[in-house]
Amino acid sequence: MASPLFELKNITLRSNGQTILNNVNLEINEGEFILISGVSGSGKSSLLRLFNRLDSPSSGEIYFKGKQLSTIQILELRLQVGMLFQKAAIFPGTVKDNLMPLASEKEKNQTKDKMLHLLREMNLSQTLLDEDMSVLSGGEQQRISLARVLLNQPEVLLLDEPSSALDPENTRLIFENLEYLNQNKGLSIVLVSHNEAAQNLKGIRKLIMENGNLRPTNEVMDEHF
Amino acid sequence: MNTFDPSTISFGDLFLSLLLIVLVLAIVGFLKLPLIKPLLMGTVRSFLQLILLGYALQYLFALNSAWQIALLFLLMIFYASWEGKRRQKIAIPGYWRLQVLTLSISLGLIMATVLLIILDLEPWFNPVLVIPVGGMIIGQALNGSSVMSNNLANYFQKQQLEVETLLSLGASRYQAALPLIREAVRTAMIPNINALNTVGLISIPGVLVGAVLGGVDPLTAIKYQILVMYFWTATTTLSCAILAFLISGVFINHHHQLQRNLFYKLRSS
Repeated sequence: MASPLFELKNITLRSNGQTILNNVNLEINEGEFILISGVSGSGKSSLLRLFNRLDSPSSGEIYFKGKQLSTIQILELRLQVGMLFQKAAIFPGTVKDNLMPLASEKEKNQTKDKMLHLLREMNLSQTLLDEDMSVLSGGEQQRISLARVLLNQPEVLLLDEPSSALDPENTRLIFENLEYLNQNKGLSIVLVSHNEAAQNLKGIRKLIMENGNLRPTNEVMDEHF
Repeated sequence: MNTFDPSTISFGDLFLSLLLIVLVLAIVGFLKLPLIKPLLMGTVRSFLQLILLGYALQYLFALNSAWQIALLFLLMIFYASWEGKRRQKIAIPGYWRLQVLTLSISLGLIMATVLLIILDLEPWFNPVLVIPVGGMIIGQALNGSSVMSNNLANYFQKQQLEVETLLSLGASRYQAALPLIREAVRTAMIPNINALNTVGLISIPGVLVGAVLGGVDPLTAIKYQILVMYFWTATTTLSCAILAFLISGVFINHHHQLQRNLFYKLRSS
């Protein structure tokens, strides 16, 4: 039987004397779309940061495709496990410069077709490529940030409250992008969001984070009904 | 005819120079700047420190072994690094150690270039030249790199999102820190580059004035001043670049993780 994409075993995270995550166990299979919700400060963003080793757990083990995360070359891991933050990071220059902030001018020009293709997939105008990134709307900037992550062709996409700074229309657009990527491209997604609209995403497995503990939402449903 | 005799300045004359500090105090008082105490402290300290230095130099210039001079520089570097640490607004773990390393490398490289290659000094440890040159290098490296490290820490604190975005895209810690390193080093170099461009036209350096007042022929003093300007610039650039990379290695660990807790501690303190 194939290993799960991600497997978290007894994950605990402590910071400044506080327990942020308390013995979290989770399995994520390839192609799954996971939604983690919960109140602010419950530990959901802290959990997400462990998947691409932006942080390391205090104890417990994480496996990615059957391999212990700590044994995988970290820069290689981050190419396979992309991450989008609450707000778009804006680097000086055009959208093209922002799509490949570490690349040389030559590399950017060689990747231009791929960039245009991604903009089209994100329902963004291809004319944006040479626009100054800083003059675009927050929604456009966030979707370009998503395209930036996708340029690495990751197998997994981590999203930390990607719609928290967006209006309902831009939230809808970015969620549509995520559904498309999961259902048409087979991308595995872990989305952290407390946005109501996220609950209606197609094909999601819902989890809730509460005081550093993770559980399926149906447990909450059972308690209330 | 110039009848000025440089050896005639007395402590009485120096006492009169306090009139200039009275002028500063008047302006500080008028603008209600909270600087009276540090200004008075600085005035007294600079007087005492320089007088002490004068007496110390008389003794130090008599040193005639490379080991004694190396030990003197080591003590100066230790003290300068402590001073650099004191100037940091954001506490950087291990800063003193990093500053000692930075100052040692900068002093070693710049002094070797100046004394062995440019001036071809034999023996290299002639204290009359080595001690003032070394002192200037340490002082310049301290000033430049402590301004740079304050700026760099500030950029790291304000641009956590940008740094983590680059790390998440697969950048190594130094690739992710490079935009911030560039900006911090550039800012620290600006005063030196401005000085190179304006010296002799709209400014006359204090060291040159001091040498001429001390009786040195102006053209000779100027030749040394050119050398001093170049090694100041080299010292600032080298020390800032070294320390910037060392500090980036503290803010982003070898697992390429931004140490955000360093900034939390700052906020809560």
